[in-house]
Amino acid sequence: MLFSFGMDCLEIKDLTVAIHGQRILDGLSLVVPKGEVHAIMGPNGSGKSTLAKVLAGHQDYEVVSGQVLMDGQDLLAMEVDERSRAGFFLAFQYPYEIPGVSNANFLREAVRARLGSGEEIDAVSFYKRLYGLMDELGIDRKFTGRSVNEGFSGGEKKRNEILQMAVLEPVYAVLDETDSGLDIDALRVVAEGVNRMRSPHRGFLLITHYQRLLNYIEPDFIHVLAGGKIVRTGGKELALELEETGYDWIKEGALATA
Amino acid sequence: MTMPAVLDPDSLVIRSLPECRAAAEERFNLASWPTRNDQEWRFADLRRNSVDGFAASAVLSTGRQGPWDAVEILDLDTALLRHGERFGPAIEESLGSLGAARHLAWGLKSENFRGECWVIGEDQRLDVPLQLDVRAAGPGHAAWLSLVLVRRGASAVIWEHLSSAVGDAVYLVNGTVVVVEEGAEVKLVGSQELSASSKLVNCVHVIPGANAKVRDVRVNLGAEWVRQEVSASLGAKGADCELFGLSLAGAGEEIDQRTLQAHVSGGIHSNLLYKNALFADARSIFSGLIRVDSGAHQTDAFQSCRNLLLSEEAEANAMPGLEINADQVRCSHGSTCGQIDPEEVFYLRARGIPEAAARHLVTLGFANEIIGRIGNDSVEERLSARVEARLLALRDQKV
Repeated sequence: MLFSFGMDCLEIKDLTVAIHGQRILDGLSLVVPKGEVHAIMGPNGSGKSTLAKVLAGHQDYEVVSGQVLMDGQDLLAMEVDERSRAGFFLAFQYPYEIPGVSNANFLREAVRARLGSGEEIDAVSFYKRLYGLMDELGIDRKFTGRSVNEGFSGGEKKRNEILQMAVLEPVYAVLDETDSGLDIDALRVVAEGVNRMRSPHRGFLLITHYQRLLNYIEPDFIHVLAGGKIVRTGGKELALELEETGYDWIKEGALATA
Repeated sequence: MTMPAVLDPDSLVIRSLPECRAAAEERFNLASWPTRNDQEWRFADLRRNSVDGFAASAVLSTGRQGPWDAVEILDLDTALLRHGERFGPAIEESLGSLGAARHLAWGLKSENFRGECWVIGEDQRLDVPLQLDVRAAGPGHAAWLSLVLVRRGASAVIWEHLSSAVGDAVYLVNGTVVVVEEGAEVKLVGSQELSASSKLVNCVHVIPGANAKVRDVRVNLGAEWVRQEVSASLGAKGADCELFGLSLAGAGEEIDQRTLQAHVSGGIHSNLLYKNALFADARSIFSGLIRVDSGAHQTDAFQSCRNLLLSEEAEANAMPGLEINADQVRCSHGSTCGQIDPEEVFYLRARGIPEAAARHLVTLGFANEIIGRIGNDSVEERLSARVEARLLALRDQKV
């Protein structure tokens, strides 16, 4: 799978990652072209969240070898904030709470970080756009004045992640278990938020344990992650197969071929 | 430290400004400067509190904003004549009782002692803040005393702000006594932006009446040394008292805060939250006591001090304390001391915010948690801007 798509994709090449000396990802390769939605499924502990955090640049993970290219740019060479400004987005599985920092301030600061020197945010159009997106995602407007994620329910935190994604309009978005902890209504709202953003100019990587999310966001490809690498790739029918059979046979299979 | 023995409550009633000065003179002579063995000065750098070299030469000027026309403003002499029984014991006994008695008395016996009394009339509701700016031009020392009487059913927001010009070495002694009558409500904000060579002794005593609410917010944005003593006398049924504090300190600065929540009778709620953000080699000392007297059952009292250390050299000392002599009380206290959570910074950076801005935002959030407790948009907005400016100055401070 080591062919290169060049400019219009997020390309992970033979990525090996360790934390505290222990290998979590072991030669993972994956290409997400713009315009496509890919899903990674896999059992707990297979390295799904590690992949998400490494792509975002979390300090705890050590890249042992491999490369990640975002539209041909070396993603791993960039600072955390640089990656985001270059068009990468991670919807966190467990979004952090930032006491005392309002959602509006947070988003304004993130938008401001993308402006050139001398440019300023037009507050009126910023809020107009923000409120429009909040309405679409069913987020109460009074959340703008509340501290980031503080006291939010699990569902509210996930919606807030999608709101941030909508405001920042990334080129590649990785959604880490965005479906976990959501009831069916919240899941639908979140999925609609993602579907509205699908575009030929944007690539998505959905990380999920369950097939449920994929009923609402239909992926182009599904990859199965086990033992730190992709062990199987298929179309959306693979999700149903996994739902029926579980992950045990894949784990056994991966172990057998290892 | 020896405290003056109190014999007779009547002897604490002050009826005039000369009596007030005489009482201060007497208290000054009975009290002593702190020594290493004083519990009330534990952890304090005792070189800092000295009054040596400060003549009574600082010049105070005041400026006002807000609905002062609606307030009865009395000079101290008149105020003590009319309300001496309300304020006398607090001035003579409560202010400075947590250790700074001699410093306070030194200020109040000084020829450079000024002050005012404000009476908020019965059922008068003032939502627009009463703002008093006290500006000290140095060098030298001066004292300012504010006496506040909030009549039954009234409500007010009072913001006292102290400042001195850059380069002026001022030693300011500042006392505030707040008496809140039944069912009344007051939000008192005491902030200071004194110059980096100034010292401040700030003593506050609040006395909420039955079903009265008091919220006191101390905000320290300047001064080389601050000794702050805040005490609440909680003896009236249904009273509610909230004490908040925010101090931002940088190179060579020490913030020394002592508090007392004195639950004299039962069924009263009090809460205290003091936060410090310390840069460079700044030091903080917090010593807080919740005292529940015998018989003060069903007391509901909390106390917390949180320190954010923004450098390896910063130092926080916290001594939370409980003294419980009653049953069926709900009391808790605690203190925390830590650095900026790298996960919070990571989260902000993952949205494109550069590291320095992310750290600033987290620090600002830490500070704004206190500003947000003031409960008045106008004061919050203006103080928040000063807090942000101060944080940026401290961050960029060259040591």
